[in-house]
Amino acid sequence: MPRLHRPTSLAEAARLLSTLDNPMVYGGGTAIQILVKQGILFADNFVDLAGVPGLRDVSVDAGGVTVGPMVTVRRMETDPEVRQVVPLASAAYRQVANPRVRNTASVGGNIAHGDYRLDPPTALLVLGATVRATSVRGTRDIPIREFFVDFQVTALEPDELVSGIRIPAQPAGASRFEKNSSLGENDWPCASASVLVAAGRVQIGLGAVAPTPRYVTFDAAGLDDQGAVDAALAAIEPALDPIPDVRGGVAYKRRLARVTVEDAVRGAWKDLQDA
Amino acid sequence: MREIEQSWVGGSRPRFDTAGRVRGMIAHVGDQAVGAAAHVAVHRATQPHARIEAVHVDEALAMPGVYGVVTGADLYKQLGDRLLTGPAFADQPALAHEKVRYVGEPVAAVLAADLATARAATDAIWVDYEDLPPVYDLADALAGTAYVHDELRPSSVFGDLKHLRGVRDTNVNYTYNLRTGDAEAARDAGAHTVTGEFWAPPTHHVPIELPCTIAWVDSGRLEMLTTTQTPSYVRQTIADLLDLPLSRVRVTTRPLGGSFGAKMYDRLEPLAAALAWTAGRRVRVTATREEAFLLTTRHGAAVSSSLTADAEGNLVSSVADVRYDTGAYADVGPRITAKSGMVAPGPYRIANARVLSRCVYTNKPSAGPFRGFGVPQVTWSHESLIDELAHELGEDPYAFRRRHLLREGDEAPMGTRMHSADFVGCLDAVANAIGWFDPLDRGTGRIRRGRGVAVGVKAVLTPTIANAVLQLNQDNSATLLISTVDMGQGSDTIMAQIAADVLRMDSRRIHVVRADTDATPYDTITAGSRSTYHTGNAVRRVAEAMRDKLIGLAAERFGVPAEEVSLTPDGPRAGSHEVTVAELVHGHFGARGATLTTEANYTSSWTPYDKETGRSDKVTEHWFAGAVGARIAVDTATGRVRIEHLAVAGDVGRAINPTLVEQQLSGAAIMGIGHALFDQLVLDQGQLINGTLLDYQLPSIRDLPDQLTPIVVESPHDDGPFGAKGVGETGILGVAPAIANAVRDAVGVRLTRLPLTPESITMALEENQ
Amino acid sequence: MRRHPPTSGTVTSGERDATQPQVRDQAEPSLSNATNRVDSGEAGQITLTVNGVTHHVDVADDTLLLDALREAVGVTSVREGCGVGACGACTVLTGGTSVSSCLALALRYDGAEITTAEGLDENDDVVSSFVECGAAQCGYCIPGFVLMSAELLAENPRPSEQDITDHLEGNICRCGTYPEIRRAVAVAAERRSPK
Repeated sequence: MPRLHRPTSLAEAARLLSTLDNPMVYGGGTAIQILVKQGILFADNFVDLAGVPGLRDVSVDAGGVTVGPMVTVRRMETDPEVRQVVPLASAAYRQVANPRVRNTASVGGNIAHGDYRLDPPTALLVLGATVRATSVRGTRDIPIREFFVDFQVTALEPDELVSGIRIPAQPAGASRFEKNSSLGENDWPCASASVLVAAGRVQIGLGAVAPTPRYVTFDAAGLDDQGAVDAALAAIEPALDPIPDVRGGVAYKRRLARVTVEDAVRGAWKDLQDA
Repeated sequence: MREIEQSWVGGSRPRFDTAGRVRGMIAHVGDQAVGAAAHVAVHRATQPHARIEAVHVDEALAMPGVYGVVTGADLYKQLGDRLLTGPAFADQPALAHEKVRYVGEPVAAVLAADLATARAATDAIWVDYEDLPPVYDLADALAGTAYVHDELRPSSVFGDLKHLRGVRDTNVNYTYNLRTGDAEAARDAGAHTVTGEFWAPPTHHVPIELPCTIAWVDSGRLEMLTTTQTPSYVRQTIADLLDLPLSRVRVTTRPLGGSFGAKMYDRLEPLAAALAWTAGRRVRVTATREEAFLLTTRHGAAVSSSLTADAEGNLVSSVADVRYDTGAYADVGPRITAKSGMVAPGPYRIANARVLSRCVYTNKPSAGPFRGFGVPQVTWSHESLIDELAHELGEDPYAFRRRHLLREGDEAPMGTRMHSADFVGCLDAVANAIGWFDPLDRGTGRIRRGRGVAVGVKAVLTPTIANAVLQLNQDNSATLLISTVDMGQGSDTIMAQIAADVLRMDSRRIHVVRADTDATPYDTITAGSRSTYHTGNAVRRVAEAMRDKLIGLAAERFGVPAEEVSLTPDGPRAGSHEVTVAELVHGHFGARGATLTTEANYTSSWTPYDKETGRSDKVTEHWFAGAVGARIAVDTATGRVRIEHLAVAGDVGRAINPTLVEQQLSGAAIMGIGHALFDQLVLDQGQLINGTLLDYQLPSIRDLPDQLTPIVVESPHDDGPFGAKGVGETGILGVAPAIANAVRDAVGVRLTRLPLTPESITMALEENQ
Repeated sequence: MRRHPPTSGTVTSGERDATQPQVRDQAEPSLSNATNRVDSGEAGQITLTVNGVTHHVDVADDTLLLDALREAVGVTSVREGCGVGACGACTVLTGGTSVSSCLALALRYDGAEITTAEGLDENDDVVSSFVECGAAQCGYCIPGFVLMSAELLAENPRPSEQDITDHLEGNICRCGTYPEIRRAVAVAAERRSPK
């Protein structure tokens, strides 16, 4: 097990990340502990953010939600203001693992993990979130759509930590998060999709069906519900690149991705009509 | 008074110490403080089949906190061939010796000051291997070009395996043949034949309590506290391993946190005993969840089978070729191969039957007993076939089964008659429960509904032995000594109910002693749903002996003949004479706190099956009969099956405690849902690739059917205690085929491989178009 | 011949007597409860208030809350079932919030108020409902279910059946006691806030 460092300021955390050998940020710790036990985590030093003040703050304004990296996944699910301003994100956070893990897992760790199957990135992609990254070199904002680079690789530099996520307020329209598993009902998703229909556009975030979460969008002006579904299925086609595993082969995962997107688009379309 | 009667046979009194269980205040083996014990971790094989050239342990030995490292060669030097143990074949070493036979096999054990150090040190052990040709699956094994074992080594436990000693150049360690009539000729002459290639994958039990064994040496005796369902077996194994008299081995247990067959026979115990004995110190051996997956599995099984009807729709032939993949070590696979292979034709009247059932070695984790003992795998075959035959004949699958089911007194294909096995009653009950006779909204769009039923039959393990000792305390409480292990099934509760009913006392005043081979008497095993009948009968008898003793004392005190004395909850009575048990026992001994003691035995018997025909007029002491009905909805877009109603019925003879019986039925059904829909061990080139609970799928509360109905059917057994039989496995037998038959009814595809994943269903739907 | 994994090349089997078990006679470090020491490595002392009783516990950087509770505090209702947060047998409540103690570093819980199933009164609504509904077979997983249920009812006094399912989905009962558990939670809710 790597050494645990417990900084008490963001600056100290950044300094530790820049000076320690092979460091890793320790956020909620749920994924890290699993990787440690499986013997597939290679870090020499953990930089624990639990003692850094301010990282658990959530602030909501008319333009959106700003969340600290140590905010729990569960808070994104239950906080009434978050639910009101970014309901799609809240719905996706609600589907992570189980309530007990959501109590500990952090929103910063969730995206830094970069796992292609996670639910929240699908919604963050659709809503156009921005990841704030901090290091001794300063702070920069990374658009979420440029954040997921490759299989479990993010745009973060080794000495950077996620110091916040800004999620713009969800525009008027309709949204759906849909998730399908292929084995037990509470298993990892085999396909997930966030869909937002707003201002004449359809935006789609895809989870578990390619090495990274994927984002696609298209102009839906003049389309009816079937037209939107057809356009959505055409739009996602180039983005599908599933990894075959015990949860299904390539063909099945592609099929399930299409069903998931169709259900989400149809559901959102219906909500829009009903509104 | 009413409360006392509720604590007797037929009453649903609460399980012993529910309040303690709910708050986690019942002590399990792993909770035992061990003081300055050596904690043990194991270095495991990375190769499926290889010769061990060298094991390099110096780096591990040099680590601070490491007390020692022991290899298979070290143990062999001390124990010789006694290192090899197993219930049917003495083929499994506690640590691999000369060869490794599966990825994950223990190669070396580290003893250290704490578990973290021991585990870290296992990573510092290096092994040189010379790879051997791997036998990954049944096809490899039966091709006969590479052999997992150089020669077969039957253990001394089963005399009927003796002829296999020294047989070489085979991966088949046991073959059972059933020949009744001429099944091939009847098939060829029959009007309608359906065939199938069925597969049920290996699965794992995953009791939530991880296995743990603590062993130590005391006054030249080997003692252990261990998570086992088979304390009497383990005592014998350890005595053989260490060449000690039975009196110098003590095996003790605590209530288990689930087991389902996982904690039986040789698990951690031989290693713990060998280490404690050779190192001369207390050792604690446990396993992570990932390691527990490697300790034992359920047999993957392939069944190639056919079922034939004549022009009138009578069943005339059943043929089955059954291959159980037992992995690297036989464990109890040969017993499964015979006892479960023989029911491959199903619980039907069939004049001609042929079964070839084989137990096959491969380079995989060893397979052993798992709730159902190999029967669910053959039920998967026969209940799919008869369903398909009914469809082919245009008959109702329920009515077709019902017509052919074995009735009381009927002889099954293997030659044994049916008694207390109400298949028809079970089938009727589940069909009624799921609304088989009502109209069904089958759906027209993406969601399609269907119904299916399945029937299962299983023999109880026979012959077996049970013993009981009862101490009646002077205060009219009692202490019951048996070696049955309570692992959630509630044996401590129902055994007390049986004894209390005989003695007319409050069963809550009876304490059942945890198995301790120094104190509790021999009992074959707690498994195979045998305890209610066998140990229950021993308990009934020991209580009857106590009743006779009390009545004798009361008759003497009252000065009346014994026939005139009866027991009541308030004490013995004879006309106007009355006395409390406390007064009676105190009067007899002249002391407070004195005890009366009785003992009893119950042993079942069988007629060994004929070597050529596989037939026997009494192959088992009694039968389990069960049925399952399922109403399901298939999402044809995703392939996902939603179970709207699952009904599960079992003939239990007589329910000693109806609530506990219902829990056994519904709990088994829920486990069966996992086996039907998603539960399987996935191996790739001998490597287990889903051996963590992040990947391995178990039914959660989300996977429950919308409605789950357990149904108790009571067809009393002439010789059962109060007519009772066991129930632990009955509920699981037919779950997978009932669901698959419902899928067939809903969307018209017949799936022959488990589990019924959404992917397999959509693939079948596409092929069907 | 292959080596798995590659060795340093400096160690061969000939350097020791392979015929003898390699058990060294070595003084043992104290593992007595007096020190409450549960692991190796960098140690620090934390304070855990468990079911109202304060414990000072020496822990290492990597000591898990599960091990601190079991080995130093002596709580045995908190159990390791999977080690990866998937079964719920190691559930505890910290400040009323459920946590998988098998994934939690003990150091992070310095000063925490921890409740385990032992700490609930036998007349507690959830405990008594589980007992009355027979919601335990082997019972090994049940303390985890009890604590998840207590958390649910504190957040949501009138949960629907779906709410109960959603909250308990991360706990595995291998005996399959789910129907009784679901009933017990509904009974506890009714008892706590009658309709």
